[in-house]
Amino acid sequence: MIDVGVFAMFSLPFMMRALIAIAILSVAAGAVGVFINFRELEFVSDGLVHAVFPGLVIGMLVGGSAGLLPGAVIAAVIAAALFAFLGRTGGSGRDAGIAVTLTGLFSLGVVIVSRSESYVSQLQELLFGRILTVTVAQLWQIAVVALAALVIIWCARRALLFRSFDPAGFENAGFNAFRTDLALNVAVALLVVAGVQALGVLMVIAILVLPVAIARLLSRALWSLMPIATLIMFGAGVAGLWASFEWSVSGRVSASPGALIVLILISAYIVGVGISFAVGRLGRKPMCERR
Amino acid sequence: MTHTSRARRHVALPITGALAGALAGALLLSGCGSTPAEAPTDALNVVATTTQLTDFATQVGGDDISLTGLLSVGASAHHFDPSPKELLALSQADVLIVNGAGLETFIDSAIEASGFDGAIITAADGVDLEAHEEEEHEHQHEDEAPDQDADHDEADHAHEESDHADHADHDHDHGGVNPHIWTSPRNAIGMVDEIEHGFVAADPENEAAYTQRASEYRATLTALDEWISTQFEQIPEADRVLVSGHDSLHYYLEDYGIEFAGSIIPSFEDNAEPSAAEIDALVATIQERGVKAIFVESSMSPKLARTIAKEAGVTVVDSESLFADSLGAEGTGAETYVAATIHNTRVIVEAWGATPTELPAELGGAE
Repeated sequence: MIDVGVFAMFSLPFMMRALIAIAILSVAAGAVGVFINFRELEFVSDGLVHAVFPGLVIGMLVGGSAGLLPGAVIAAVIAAALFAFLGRTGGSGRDAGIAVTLTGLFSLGVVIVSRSESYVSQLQELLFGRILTVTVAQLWQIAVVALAALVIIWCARRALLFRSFDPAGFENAGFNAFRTDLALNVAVALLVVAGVQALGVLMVIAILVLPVAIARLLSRALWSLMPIATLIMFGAGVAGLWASFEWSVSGRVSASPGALIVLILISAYIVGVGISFAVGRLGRKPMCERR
Repeated sequence: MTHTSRARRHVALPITGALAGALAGALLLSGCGSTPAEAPTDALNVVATTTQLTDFATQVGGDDISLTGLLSVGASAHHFDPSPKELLALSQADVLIVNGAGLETFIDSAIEASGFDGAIITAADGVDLEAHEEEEHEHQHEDEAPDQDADHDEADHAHEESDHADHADHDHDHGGVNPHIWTSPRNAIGMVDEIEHGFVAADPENEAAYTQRASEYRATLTALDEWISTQFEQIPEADRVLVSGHDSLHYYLEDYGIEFAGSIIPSFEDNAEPSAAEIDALVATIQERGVKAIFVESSMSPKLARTIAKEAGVTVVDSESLFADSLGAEGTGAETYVAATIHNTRVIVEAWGATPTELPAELGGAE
C-alpha cells in the first residue's frame, strides 16, 4: 500500500493543475463577485453563463477544444452588451428580457450540439466541466481571461462602487451608467469563460455568487470582502479536490470534484447563515442602500 | 466606517479566523490519513482503455502484470471521464494499451493530466485496416486513412490521436475508419500480437511467459473464429441482414458475410437520438430487406429500438443484448471477450431461427 499524503497528492500533475485553476478562479471570483453582489446581478450572471454555452459549442465545432475559449469570449461579450442594454430599461422588463435571452441562447446551444458527432459526451463536458483534465494550455487561457476580468474591475472600481451605492448621484455626477454596466458585465462574462472550462456551465454560477455571499455573512467591512471571498473559494476548492481524490482512490465513490466544491461552498453558506443568526446579526439594516 | 461597523468587524474577524483555521486543520489532518491505493508492485503496471483490451491484457499478461482497466463495463467505448483513481493508476503505469483507430479521443487529456510517460501499445497497429478500407468506399465521403505509425513515441501518438479526434468532430456518419476493430476475432488475434510485442518490449524478463500465453490465446481465438463461421453457414445468405443500435459490429459482420442494413443511431454515440426522417428511412429499409430482428448493444437503451421495431413490425432482441462496446458485467456470462463473442453469435443465430451448435473443446473453458 502506498500513502498518498496531501502534498504528494497535489504534486500529481492533474491535481496541481486543478489547484492552480482554482487559485486563479478564486482571486477573480472574489473581485468580480463582490460587484455582482453589490449590484444584485446574480440573475444577469446566470444569464451570461447560459449565453456563453452556444459560444462554447460553436467554438468546439469550429476548432475543437482550442476553439472553446474564443467562441466563449465572443458569445460572452455579445451577451454582456445585450444585458447591459436590457439593463437600461430596468425593473421587471430587464429580468424578463434576460430570462428570454438565457433560455433562447441555451436552447440554441443544445440544438447546435445535437448536430455534432458525439454530442452527448461533449454536452456532458460543457455542462459539468472537467477540472481534472485541464491542460497547461487551458490553464494559461484561464489565467489570461481571469486577469482581463480583474483589470476591467480595477479600472472601473470607483465608478462601480459609486453606481452600486448611489445610483442617483452617479447619474447626476454625469457618469455613463451604460458604460459602467457594460464593463461589469464583460468582467463577469470573462470570469464565466474562465470558470466554464474547469467547472462547466451548470456550476460556474456558484463561484460567482457563493464566496461573496458567505463573505458578507462573516464580515461587514467592505475592504475585507474580497480577500475573504477569495480565501473561502480557495479553501472550498482545496477541500473539494482533496475529498474527490480521497474517495475515488479509496474506492468509495467517484464524485466529480467540481460538484464537491460547489457542495462545500453551499454548506459553508448554510453554516455562515447559522453563525450570523447566532451572533444575531440577521434582520439588521443591510450594509448599503439597495436600489 | 461608522462605530457600529467597527464593532462588527471585531466579531467578524474571529469568525473568519476560525474558518480559515478549520480549513487548515482539515488539510493537515488529511496529510496524516493514509490512502490505500494500488501499490506499484514489481510486476509491470499496465493500464488498458476498453474492457476488451483489459481482457486481452489479462490473457497475455497473467500474473506478471498489475492491470487497471479504465472504461467500466456496460459503458460506451466512445467517451470517458477519468476519476482521480484512474489518473493515479495512469501516472504510475509502465504501459498503456489503447485501441487506436480513432476510438479514444479522450485519452490525450488523460495522458497529459496524469503525467504518464510510459510506453503506449496501440492495438490497432496489429490489424490490417487497409484491407477493410476497400469496404469503406461505399460510405459517404472518404476521410484520409490514419497513418499507422509504427513509431510509438508519445508526441507522435498524441498528434495522431488528435488528428483523428479532429476528423471525428467534423464528419458525420462514418467517415474514416470504424474503430470497433475488436468485434472480429480475426482482428482480435492481431491486437493480441501487438499487446504481446508491447509486453515483451517493456518487460523482456518474462518474454517466455508472455509468448506462451499469447499463443495459447490466439489458438482459442482461431477456434472461436471457426465456430462462428460454422454457425452462420446454417443461415441462407439472403437472410443474413442485421440492424443494430449503432454500427459497432462492422468487422464481425464483414468477416461472416452478414449484411448491415443500418443502425438506429447514425453516429457512434450511444445516447444520441436520430431524427424522425432517419427513423422513417430505417423502418423502410427494414421492411424492404425483410430484416427479422433488431439487436441492441448493452451500452444502449433499448427504448428507441422498441419504437422502431413496432413501426416496422419486427421483434427487438433486447432481453439478450449484444456486447459490442463493452463486455458484460459479472454474472452475465459475457465477462470475457471470448464469452461475449460466443454470446453475441448465439443471440443473432437464435433470432434468425437457427440453433447454435455445440462449442468445440478449445472454447469449452470459456463457457
